[in-house]
Amino acid sequence: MAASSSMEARWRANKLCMSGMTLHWFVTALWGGRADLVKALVTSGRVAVDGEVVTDPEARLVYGIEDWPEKRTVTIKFPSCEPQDVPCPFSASDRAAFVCPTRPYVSVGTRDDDFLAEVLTTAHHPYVLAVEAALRELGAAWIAGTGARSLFRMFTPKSSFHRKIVHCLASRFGMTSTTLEDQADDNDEQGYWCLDFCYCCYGNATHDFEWEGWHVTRSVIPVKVTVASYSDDPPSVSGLLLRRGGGVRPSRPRSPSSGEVSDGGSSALSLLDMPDELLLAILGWLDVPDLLRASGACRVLRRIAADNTLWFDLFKFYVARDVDSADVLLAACKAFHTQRSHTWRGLYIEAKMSGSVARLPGSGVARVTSRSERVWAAASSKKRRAAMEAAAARGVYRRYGVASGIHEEREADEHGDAG
Amino acid sequence: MSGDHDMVKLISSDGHTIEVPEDIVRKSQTLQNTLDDLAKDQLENGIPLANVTHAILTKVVEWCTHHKDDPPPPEDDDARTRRTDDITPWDADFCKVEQTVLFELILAANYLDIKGLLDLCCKTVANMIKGKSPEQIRQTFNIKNDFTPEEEEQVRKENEWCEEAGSTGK
Repeated sequence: MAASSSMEARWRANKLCMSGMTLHWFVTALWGGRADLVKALVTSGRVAVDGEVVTDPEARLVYGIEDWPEKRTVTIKFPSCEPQDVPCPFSASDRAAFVCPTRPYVSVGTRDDDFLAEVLTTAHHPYVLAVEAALRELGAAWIAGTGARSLFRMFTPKSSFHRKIVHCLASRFGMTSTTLEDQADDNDEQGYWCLDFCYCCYGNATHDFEWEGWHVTRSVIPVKVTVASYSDDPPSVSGLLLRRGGGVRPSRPRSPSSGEVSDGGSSALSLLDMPDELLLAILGWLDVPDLLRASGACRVLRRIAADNTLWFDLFKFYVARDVDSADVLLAACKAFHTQRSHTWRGLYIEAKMSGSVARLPGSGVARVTSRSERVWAAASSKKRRAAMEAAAARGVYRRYGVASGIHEEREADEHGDAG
Repeated sequence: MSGDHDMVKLISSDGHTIEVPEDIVRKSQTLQNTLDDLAKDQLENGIPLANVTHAILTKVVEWCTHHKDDPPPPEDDDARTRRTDDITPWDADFCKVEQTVLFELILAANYLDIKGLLDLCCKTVANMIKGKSPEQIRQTFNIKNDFTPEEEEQVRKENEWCEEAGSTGK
């Protein structure tokens, strides 16, 4: 029953269209099931196109997005729910927006926030797998007919393009966040974001033509999310997009201990072979001193250890002792970050050096809790002040741009103490 | 009761098939979604796991079996403490494997979305980092020092505030 309701919810929310792909991949993309099982679904006669049952899973949906008839429907009858019609989700103007000079291409679009939200609740959602597989299959089909390579473009409405989706796809295609360039303007296609991919029939695509985009044929990394630069602000979608035709930096090289990657072999993994998000997960268990020591080991760990995600958590953890409720904490963090536009690492250092977040201008914590005042009172001993003075003299504060606020605050505090 | 469990076939990337009770399989969020979405007859051929080898899958199943009665881990990250010293003896013993295996377990746990196992493995690696100097970390994980002397000095300076803050008491 749960499966049925889940499926129906997905279907109701579903508005996704792929052009030029075989029927079973279309169904897979819509439904999110595994390809071989969906094939069985098609073979068993549960799928109809325009009312006509199609039992060949390899039957190709020959019409592209541009010429998809308005009333064309694919009806899929699932064992556990009523037949559902899937109308073309794109209007004529939408379809016009898809026309682009790069050919051939596949457009993968979804226009429904609910659907995105639904798939996002599944950590490792099959949507990503389906898109990946669809691209591969289309690439193979194109190569079989025409040549050695194929270009793909994935479109997604800008308004609903979620960071997690992008990172999922990017990760599945072997990209890391460092391979994605901040070229929003170049990828802005009338309100749609697009990612360009190239499928090459050779495993090593470096010999290939002038294409400088991403090669789908490169290794697929079994990870979910790459969030290299997370902040409390809304996600910067532009930072995740691949510049069309632009250069792509190579993925992080494997560590010396792991040796070269062979095409078919599975060489020994080492710490630095972990994707960024998993390194983040590992470093996320470290306290600040250990985190900083780890950052001194090599450049990769230094970069990861400076990630805003880690420092946001550390900051929250640190600030939490000063506030009495999660709501207050969140509000304080947001106010703090918005007003001062620092990195969380800088804010953590600032809070740590000042003894309490409540003493930092703009934190808002002092107004909502008296506990913070007690913490500060306990912490503001002569010894601490002497240490702060010494650190300030060495420029530690200034390095993070926090000198003025703290000193002003401290001066005011001293006046208050005297009074 | 336990004898009535439905078995699910899992096919590893190297082609081995193992049959696992459904309640164990459902420890993996990824596989749970698959099971929920598909009808029984569609699962007869097994679920291929393209990114997990037989050896690692066996380890994963071993962990899931041992923890099958555990309550689901909290979704709320805020509820998570940063403790890494709360690993049970059985889990600690489970993680006494070569680094390569440990990292493959992390990848598999991530792929299969098994939060408990992922946390355990990440904690284990974190414990291997804790208390070590940068040089010791390099030695532990066979990492090459790719800093220039200037960069190394810069890192040291950037991090010295922590020592200062630590020496002045929290």
